[in-house]
Amino acid sequence: MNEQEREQIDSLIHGLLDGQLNERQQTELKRLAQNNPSLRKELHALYRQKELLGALPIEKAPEGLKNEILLRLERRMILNSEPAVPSHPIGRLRLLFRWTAAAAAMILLPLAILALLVLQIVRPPEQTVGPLAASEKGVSEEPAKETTAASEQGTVLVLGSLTLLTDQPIAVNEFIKKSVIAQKLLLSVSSERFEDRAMYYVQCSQAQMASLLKELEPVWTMCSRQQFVLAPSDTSIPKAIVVESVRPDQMKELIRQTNPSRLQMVASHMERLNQRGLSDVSLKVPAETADSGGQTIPPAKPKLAWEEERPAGEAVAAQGPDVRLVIVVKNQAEEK
Amino acid sequence: MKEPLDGQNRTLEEDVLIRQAQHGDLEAAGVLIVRYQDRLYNTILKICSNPEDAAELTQDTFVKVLEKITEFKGKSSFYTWLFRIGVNLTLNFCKRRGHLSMRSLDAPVGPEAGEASSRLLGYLMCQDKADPVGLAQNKEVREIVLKAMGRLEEEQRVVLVLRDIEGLSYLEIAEILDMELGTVKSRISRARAGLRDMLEAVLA
Repeated sequence: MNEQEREQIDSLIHGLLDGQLNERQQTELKRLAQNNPSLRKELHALYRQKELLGALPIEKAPEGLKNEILLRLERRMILNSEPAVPSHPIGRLRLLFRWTAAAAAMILLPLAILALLVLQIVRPPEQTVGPLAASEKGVSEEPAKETTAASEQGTVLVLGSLTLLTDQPIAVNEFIKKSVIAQKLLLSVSSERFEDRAMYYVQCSQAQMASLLKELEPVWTMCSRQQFVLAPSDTSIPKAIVVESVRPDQMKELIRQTNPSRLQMVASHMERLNQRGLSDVSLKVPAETADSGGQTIPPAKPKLAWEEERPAGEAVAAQGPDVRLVIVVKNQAEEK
Repeated sequence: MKEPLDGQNRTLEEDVLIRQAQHGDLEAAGVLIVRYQDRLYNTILKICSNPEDAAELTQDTFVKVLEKITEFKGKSSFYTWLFRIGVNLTLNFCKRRGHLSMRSLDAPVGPEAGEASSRLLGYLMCQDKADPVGLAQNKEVREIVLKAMGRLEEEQRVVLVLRDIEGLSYLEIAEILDMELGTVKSRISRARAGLRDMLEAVLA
């Protein structure tokens, strides 16, 4: 038997073992085996060997393998603060946010310039304002007084930062991540991870922020310290307002505020209440109070449409002006 | 009998799990791990012959797969993709490690192993009508078979594990190992013949 014939026979044998032979090939192999006892023996031995290998029991993976894998993934997510190309979806959010912002700027800037040029060309000449025009102007300006300072200026109201100190950073971070996904806020959140803390920069509408904070309520029980800080700004707040042991309902009240002055006042009020440990005292802040600048602070709005109770986990549409909050999850072990 | 797990059998549920895992859902990732961990571990163990190494390599595979899961486009089955990564990691590991596992092959055999050898020899020589499932339950028989497999070249051992133990098709093996179908077929032929020779040598 030459090498080519041997290869053909091998091909037939293994084809038969794998069920790949047609009827003609099977007949041919049968004929060859009948005339060759050695081939017949080889065929039977290989068939039995294949049967034996297929019958070997499956070795079970060690207990707890799944948890080990998930822990490793979580550890990588937390410790890989700034990989060159974030490999995890949450890490990728940051890049996505930057790319989106850059793309939006590239598109909007030329459009704005073009719009300005068009406006200069088609703008009608200024007319003398008569009584009718004055009254029309008065009517049209009236609702503007109702709008918030933030929306008037087209700026984002910076709520401050919420720091959560916990000995379960993995669980807390995972919970926040799930809540962001559940609230469909992936594009509104960017995150950074450091050795001792994770930071989430959330910028979304008031309604979405309130809904996210509601979703995050269970996190409070996992944390030994919850602190809200309204950082000093160049104009209105001379020093930081620190609300220790801030509660979810207090956070909700803070989010409701659309006026920086009012936000500052409510935060100061909570700072004093919580310092005195008056946890049960009503959050109601006097509606008409003079602020430090001697101006009248507009009263808090009545309950808004987006504030209606919703089941946890249900995403809400963007309503209300945009607000910004930084959530910091600090590892208690590192703190010590 | 092992369940077929090729692309055609991928369920809608699995597609949903993959999509959820792609959005960072660790619970969905956990379900995928549980679904495939035994099959993957078993395959890696048969290739590398060491339970600790196999457990570590299985972990490495899942971590790598889940970190890159957003790159999975569903062109092949998830199972094939997972095995491709797992088998490649294992082969690279084996190349780095060398042939350390071969040392124990010539260890002296006890009386139980002697009895197992006779049973196995009788079975392979068609001298008795032993049931392969019953025979495979015998620990000593399993050890002899796995030791003989351990003596094969890694490239032959891999195709033998994927085809005769894991029950994958030629096409799936070609996809996992990124090689031509013809190469897969010839390698399987050589591996089976090689194992037969090794078993004869061990049992002689």
